[in-house]
Parts: sequence; structure tokens; C-alpha cells
Amino acid sequence: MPALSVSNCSNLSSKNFIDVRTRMLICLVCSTGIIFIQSPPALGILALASLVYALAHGRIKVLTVAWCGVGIIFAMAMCCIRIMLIFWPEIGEMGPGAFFNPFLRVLILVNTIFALAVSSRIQDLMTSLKTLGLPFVIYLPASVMIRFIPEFINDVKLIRESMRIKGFNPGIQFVTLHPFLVVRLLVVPLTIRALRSADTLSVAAELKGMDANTRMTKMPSPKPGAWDIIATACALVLTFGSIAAEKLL
Amino acid sequence: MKLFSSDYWAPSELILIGTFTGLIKISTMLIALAGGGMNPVTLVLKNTVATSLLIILVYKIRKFGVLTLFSVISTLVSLLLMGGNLMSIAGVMISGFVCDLFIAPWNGFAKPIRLILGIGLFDFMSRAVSLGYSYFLYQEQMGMFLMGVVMVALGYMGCLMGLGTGIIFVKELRHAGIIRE
Repeated sequence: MPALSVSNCSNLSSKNFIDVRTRMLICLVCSTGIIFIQSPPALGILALASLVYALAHGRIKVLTVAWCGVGIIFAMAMCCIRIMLIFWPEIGEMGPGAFFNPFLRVLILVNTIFALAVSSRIQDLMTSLKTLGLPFVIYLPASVMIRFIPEFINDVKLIRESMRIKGFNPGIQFVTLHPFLVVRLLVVPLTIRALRSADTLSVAAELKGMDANTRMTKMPSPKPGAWDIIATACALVLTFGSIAAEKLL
Repeated sequence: MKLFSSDYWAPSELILIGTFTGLIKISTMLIALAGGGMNPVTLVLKNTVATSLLIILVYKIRKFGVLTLFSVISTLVSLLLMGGNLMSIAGVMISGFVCDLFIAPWNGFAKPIRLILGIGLFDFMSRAVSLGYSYFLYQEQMGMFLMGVVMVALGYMGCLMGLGTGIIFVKELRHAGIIRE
């Protein structure tokens, strides 16, 4: 099985200065806070802060693509609203918040999720799963899933090649016009291979003596560093400060 | 809690749950990418495939807590690896637990109709939770929220189709000797 962790490790290792648990906490604080914030300037400040936070994790190209995607969706939504304004001019009286708030909320979510998901290496995730102190029943399937993703991708490549040999070109046109063939030629072989892989892995686990009495080795949880404290404090102050300011002013 | 106790689950069951969670993620992502964005056919198809695979998983592991554990693993890995929303995680886990409770009484895991209805309910509840969060996200623009509702409804049609195709899948796998019960 190819190690997914090998790729991009050189440009990621120095960037993950914030612990994964801190990143999860920031993600939770932001995704909860943005529901209650309704003022466009407050959301704008939070979006800007989240952008700085996301940029600090590197991978600027991927972040730019994500921002472009959100921008395209926003532009499409604006076009639809312009058309709606012709028929319902009352929409225009709702103020700028009605137009910008949903967009700003999505941007904040994209930035915080980006920092958590895209910038993590597989090996970091495996380690963080251990340091989170999860029970064995969650740790085992989660690690199997993460470790099996490259295997599945290889299986898909093989099945795609076999489809090409049979004369099918698995592109947008084929998937749209022949959905039943997609299930028959792609999903069914993939399912059978997954079942076989699961069986093989189960046998290996049993041979290794893994059972209900297996004790899980717990990794020592690293203490929060200076950057963890600064990032958490900033997220809490900005989010709850915005909510408080909105209620008071 | 018995559900998270190692004695309750065999390692082979945990491995199967992990494998199928990965399979569902990869196959749905693949179909969505192959369809190229807002393609209604692939939207229906990916939900059909996801539900069918979930039916196979529940048929293979007929135990209380399988949907809860599936939703925990799926959302946890989505959050860490693919960018899931932390707010919807609690809702999805509660959906899984409620659906397990729906299936379990009076030996419900041995009754195919209860399994199918339970999975249908799980799909419905997890989508309802996501839409509930979207409502707060787009509270100023109900038009955008309604567009989301239409897309989710279309996806749920795929899930309902998946309940049927899942049964066909299970019949074939039982014929092949992969599902024994």
C-alpha cells in the first residue's frame, strides 16, 4: 500500500505549528459563532482574521482555488438575486447584510476547515487520533479508513483501466448518460474488492492477536504551545467579542 | 457505555465499518467529481450508491450501534481529512443513535424491513440536521437556503432509490455467499 503521507511532507512539516486539537476548537468556535453574528463589518473582520489563520498554514494555491470556488458560487448567487430584484424590488430594501452575510459566513467556514483538513499530513492525523484519547472502537475503524484511502484510489485506477479496455470512457458524459453502467462497472467491483480487503485485514488482525482484551497504547498528549494559546485566544475574543458588541451597540 | 466497549465489537466488525466508511466516502466523491459539479444525475447516483453500501454494511453487522459508530467514524474522518462541518457532527451522531434505537426493539436487526426503514430514517435525519445548520448560515437569503433544500431533496430521492438497489445488492451478495445471514 502506498504511503499517502509521503507526498507533500516537505512543505507541510514546518507549517503545522498549531496542534490539531486547537484547530478543532477554533473550527467549533467559528462555526458556532457565525450563526449569531449578523453585522457585515463583524463578519468581515472575522473573515479577514480567518484568512490570515488559513494563510499561516501554507498551501496558498489550494486556498486560492477554494476561494475562487466560493467566489464563483457567490457571483452566480448575485446574478440570481439581480434577476429576482427585477420581479421583487422589496429584496433590495433589506440592506447589504442580506447579500454579503451568507458569503462571509461561508468564507469563514472555508478558512477554518482548510486549516484543519487540508494542511494536515496523514501521519499527523493518525498521531492526533491517538492523542485525542479516543476509545479503541473509534480509533481502529478510523485508522483503517484513513489507511485504506490510498488502496481504494488504486482500486479505482485499476477498474478505470479495465473500463477503458472494455471500450467505456468514464467521463462526465458517460456518468450522466449511463448511471446504471457506472454502478455495474465501477461500484460493484469496488464493493467486492473492499469486502475482500476487509476480510484479509480481519484475518491479519486476528493472527496478530488483536481482540477485545487488546490494550491501546496511548500517546502522551502534547502540552499546548504559545501559538495554540494565541490562536485560541484570538478566535474566542474575535467571535464572542463580535457577538457581544452586536448585542450591546 | 456498552456501545463504546471493546468487548461488544469484534475487531473484524470494526475493520468492516472502517473499510465501508472509506468506500462510501471515496465512491461518492468519485461520482461527484466525474459528474462535474451541479449535475443532478450524479447527485442522485452518489446518494443511491451511498445508501446501497450502507445497507450492505448494516446487513453484514446486525448489531445495535452500527449506525452510530458509522456516523462517528464518518464525521470524524470527514472533519480531519476532507473538511466536514463540526456543527453538523453532533446532529449526525444523534441521528445514528436515534435510528439504532428505532431498529433495535423486538429484535429489529433480524428484520429486513426495520433495517431498511431505519436507514431511510438515518438518511432523512442527517440531511435535516445539515439543512437546519444551513438555515442559520443563510438566514438573510432564504432563496439560497431554498436552493439548498431542492438539492438535498433531490439527493434524498437518490437515497430512497438506494434503499431499493441496496436490497438487490444484498440479494446478489447473499447469492455469492458474502452475506450469510
